[in-house]
Amino acid sequence: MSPARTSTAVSTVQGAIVFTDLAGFTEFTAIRGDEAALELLSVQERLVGDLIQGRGRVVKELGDGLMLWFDDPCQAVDAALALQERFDDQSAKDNLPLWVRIGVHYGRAAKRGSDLVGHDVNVAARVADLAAPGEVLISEAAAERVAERMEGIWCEEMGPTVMKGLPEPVGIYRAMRAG
Amino acid sequence: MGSQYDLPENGRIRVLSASGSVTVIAEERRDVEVEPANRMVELKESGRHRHRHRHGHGIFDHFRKGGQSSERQEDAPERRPVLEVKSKSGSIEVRCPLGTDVSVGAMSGSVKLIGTFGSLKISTVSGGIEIDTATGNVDARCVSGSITVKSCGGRCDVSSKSGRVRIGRVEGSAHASTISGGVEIGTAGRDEVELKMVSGGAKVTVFGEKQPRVRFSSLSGKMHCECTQGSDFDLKVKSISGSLEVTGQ
Repeated sequence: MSPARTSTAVSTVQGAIVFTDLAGFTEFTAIRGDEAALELLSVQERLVGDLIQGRGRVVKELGDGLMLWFDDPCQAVDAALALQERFDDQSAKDNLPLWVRIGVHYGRAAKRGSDLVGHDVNVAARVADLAAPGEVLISEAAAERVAERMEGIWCEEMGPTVMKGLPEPVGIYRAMRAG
Repeated sequence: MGSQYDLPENGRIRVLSASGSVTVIAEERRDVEVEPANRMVELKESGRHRHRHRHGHGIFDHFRKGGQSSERQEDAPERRPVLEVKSKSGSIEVRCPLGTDVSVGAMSGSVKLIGTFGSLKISTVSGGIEIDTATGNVDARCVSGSITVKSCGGRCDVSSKSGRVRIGRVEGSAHASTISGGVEIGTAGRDEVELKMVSGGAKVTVFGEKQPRVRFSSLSGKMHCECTQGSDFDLKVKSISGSLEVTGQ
């Protein structure tokens, strides 16, 4: 007898998925200690909390990184750039050589409780993987939506990238404030 | 013997490879040769099929709106013909005219660019990148693997998560970052050099008796500068635990 099958309706949402990674966190912790590491995470939490309030949410924490969700890709890119700027300011103020690497992708994600999973979530993670310290990279899908609606944002083409586990190349852009 | 293709005027080359090494050779020739001959080759416009621009108001128009600096304007994606070469597996070799702009997206396998190119945009997930000479700008990034650029005539942006970065000589600005590898760079000293390393150190060679304004920040690394410091260009280096060595030549 075959096992009973239950059909579950998959609930999905469309929007922007953002992954952040704190470059150098492990080394920072090794040198400055656990207490300083916890303090740094609190700073990140405060900066992110201020920036996403009313326009996005933290899906989950991934060690020193975060997965964020925004309904609107423009809000996602704006928040990503603002996070980068605030982190730079904080880092300069405290004389800490630390950076955030950020990847943004626009697509569909399946809900799993408060978590989000799916192909587009994986793409967003891969985009973040390619980002250099202090850089915001966005996928072509996100760039297309941002380019039409955001003044003052510069998207520089990085070329298509072939990523592990993804059948098609993903176009990547570096997002920057103009000027 | 591979297959030959015409490269339209102002055309650039894009190579996409899922696995296997990619070698692109710039040499005295007018056409493009792809070997093995059975790879998928397609002529596109700005990497997109022409019909996607049928309204005459494509994505790249919007992208240029925000640009302010002339350097970035120069880099703005243009609607240019692109000869796209796709390879699912196995090594691939592409021969193209000298000075061609090339972009390569590879997943696993090394990428080598031999000869003199125009501008280059190269990314790999796992596999090193070796670049001979680019007269224009270079953007090279990989997740795991080392990156070597012998000579870059423009701006050079290089990033590797785990692997060393070596830039023999850059004429314009340079931005290099690594998470676990070191950085070696030679600069003409005309424009800003910014290095970000987590655990690696940096060796900077300054050519032409230029005097850098050095700003070094590290939690545990030390700085040793043999150059006379001045105001010819900014050298900004940040590292969690790596040291900085600056020499003149």
